[in-house]
Amino acid sequence: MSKARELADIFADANTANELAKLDGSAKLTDAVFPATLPAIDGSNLTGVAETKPTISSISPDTIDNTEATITVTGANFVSIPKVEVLNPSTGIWYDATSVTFNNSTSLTVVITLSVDAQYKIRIENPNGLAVLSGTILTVSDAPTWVTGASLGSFAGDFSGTLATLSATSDSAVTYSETTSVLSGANITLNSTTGALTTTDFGGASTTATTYTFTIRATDAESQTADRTFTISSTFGATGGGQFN
Amino acid sequence: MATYLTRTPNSSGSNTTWTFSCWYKKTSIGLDTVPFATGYTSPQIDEAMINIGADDQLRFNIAINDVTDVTVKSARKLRDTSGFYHIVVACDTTQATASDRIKIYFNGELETNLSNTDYPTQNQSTFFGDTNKTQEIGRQPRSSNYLFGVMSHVHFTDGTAYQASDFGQYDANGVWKIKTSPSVTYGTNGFFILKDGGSVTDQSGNGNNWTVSGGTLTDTLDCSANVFATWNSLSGSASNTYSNGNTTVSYPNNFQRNANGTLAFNSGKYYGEFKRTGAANLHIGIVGNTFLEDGRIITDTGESHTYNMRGHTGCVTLITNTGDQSIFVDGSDSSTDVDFFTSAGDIVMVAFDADTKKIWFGKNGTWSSSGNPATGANPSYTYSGTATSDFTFGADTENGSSCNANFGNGYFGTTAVASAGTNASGNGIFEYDVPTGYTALSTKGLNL
Repeated sequence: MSKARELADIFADANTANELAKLDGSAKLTDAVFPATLPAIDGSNLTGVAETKPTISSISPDTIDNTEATITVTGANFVSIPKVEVLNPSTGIWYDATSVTFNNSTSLTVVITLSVDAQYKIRIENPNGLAVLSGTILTVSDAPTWVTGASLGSFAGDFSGTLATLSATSDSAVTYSETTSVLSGANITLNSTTGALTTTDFGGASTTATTYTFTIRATDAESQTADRTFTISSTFGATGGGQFN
Repeated sequence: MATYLTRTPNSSGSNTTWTFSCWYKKTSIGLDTVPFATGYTSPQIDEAMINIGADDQLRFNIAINDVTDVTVKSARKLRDTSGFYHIVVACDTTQATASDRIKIYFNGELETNLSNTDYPTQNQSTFFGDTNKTQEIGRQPRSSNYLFGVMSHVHFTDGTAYQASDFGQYDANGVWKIKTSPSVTYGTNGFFILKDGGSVTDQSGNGNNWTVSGGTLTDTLDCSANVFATWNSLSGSASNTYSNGNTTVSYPNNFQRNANGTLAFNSGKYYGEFKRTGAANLHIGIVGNTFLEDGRIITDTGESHTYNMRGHTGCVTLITNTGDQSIFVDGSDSSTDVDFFTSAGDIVMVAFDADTKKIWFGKNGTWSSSGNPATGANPSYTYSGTATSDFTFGADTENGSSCNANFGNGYFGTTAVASAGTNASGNGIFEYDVPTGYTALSTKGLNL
């Protein structure tokens, strides 16, 4: 076999010039034992051919809903501008990204809309044809949707009991948390599981009519969130009337 | 003629289904009063009304051709003249069960103890949806039965029967309190008037405004959330005449008759203003437990000072006269005078510190002898007599004199204060400056 034929066979089994392996499967050759400058077919030197496959290390966010989403893919060896597809392994259907922005060799910005809730793989193929397919790395599921309206109405100051029960729906269990710091001042307790707003003395020490504005975050099992700002007012009775003389 | 309100609907409403809700403070017992009514006399006398009869029981009546056809009457007697009742009457004659057609609520509780249960027949008209009948608040059509007292937050929903809990709710202490903005549908002829004052302009958004007739309707701060003292028609002399929501008291004959406040206190500092009209010898001051606990005060008819402030134990009182300026204490002249005489039309100021038992009298904005209730300086008198608790303001009137008390509701009779003074307590409206540390005698004032 000519030397050129031998080298061609070696390249066929290697990803990079630095991973050249012998045809018999023995240890790969390293820079230390394999010269960076390869012999030419005619016996003179060849310039090294070094092609590199892309890799994916993470995406953000890793959970999106069915609306158009923008995802940042972090990895290595991205070449402008790669093709990005996602695969639903349970159906075998591939979806193309709406747009891909090459930020640099380690970062892509991908816009995609996926209408089917599932776990997805991402495939990135550089223009040179080298590609990578991730494991299931992207979750598509429904984000919480608020059912309870923003205005919770008015309640008598010093009221004791359940003021309202907040409700948001999703395709998994929803929990509730306050993103503001208002409820404690109104002497209201939020049940993170049920969404119930309860009090033993609405308004606490306040004796004047007050409107409390606060934001509650609904979070589902996939950590998807939806915020809603609510208002609830305390009343401390009438301030007068008409005297029939 | 007493005050009442009228409105004639322009559009037909529901004759079967409605709710009336109001907060009502009575001024007397044993008097037929009418919170809400409708009716006409031609071609025949047909009327419906919610009234509180001379038996002090609330009922819903329908009369057809002047013959009573429906009477649903509560067995409960409404005899409290010191506070507000929340009254709700819900009607839905479409209900199959008779007892579901009329429901009466007092202070949030559905009344189940009824002394009359002549319910409307199913789908019977109650006339409240008719366009040709004048609705009245405060008077029974074609009669002299009026209302008197104070009404606040009056709602009528046309087409929907609500529960009391749609207009009120319990607080943490189990007290039934008003919902100032109830979530109700008012319907075509629904309305919301007397919201936080004497305005008869509809606040429901319907524009169903009312008209004041007969007398005067004045603003008052007196309401369910802050009940102000008035003269107590139940504990003062039965010979007195009370008017203007029991803020005015008069007595036509010789020898004074007493009236005292509906709210009392054992501690704290309270301020009041009292204007005399008519004859002299109006007495103004403070009475306490040893005066109030003497039941003879109510029933006395003899011409004697024995049973009034001037001649009875348990009080400190100033005689208002152009020739007498004496302070009487526990039934005797204390030999202590104020530095002013008093004429009709003058406003007597009284400040009483129940903790130190110091009392200050003043006239028309000036305290006697440079007194200063705020600092405790120069009281008109320091009381150490028999009364030790349950203090309240008191007045004796005689010979047609009247005492118009401003306990903080901002009026002397039907006349508003000319220029309100300062009031650091934020409770009450007075003609002159309220001394720092003092407040109006009201439920809010008692808790400051």
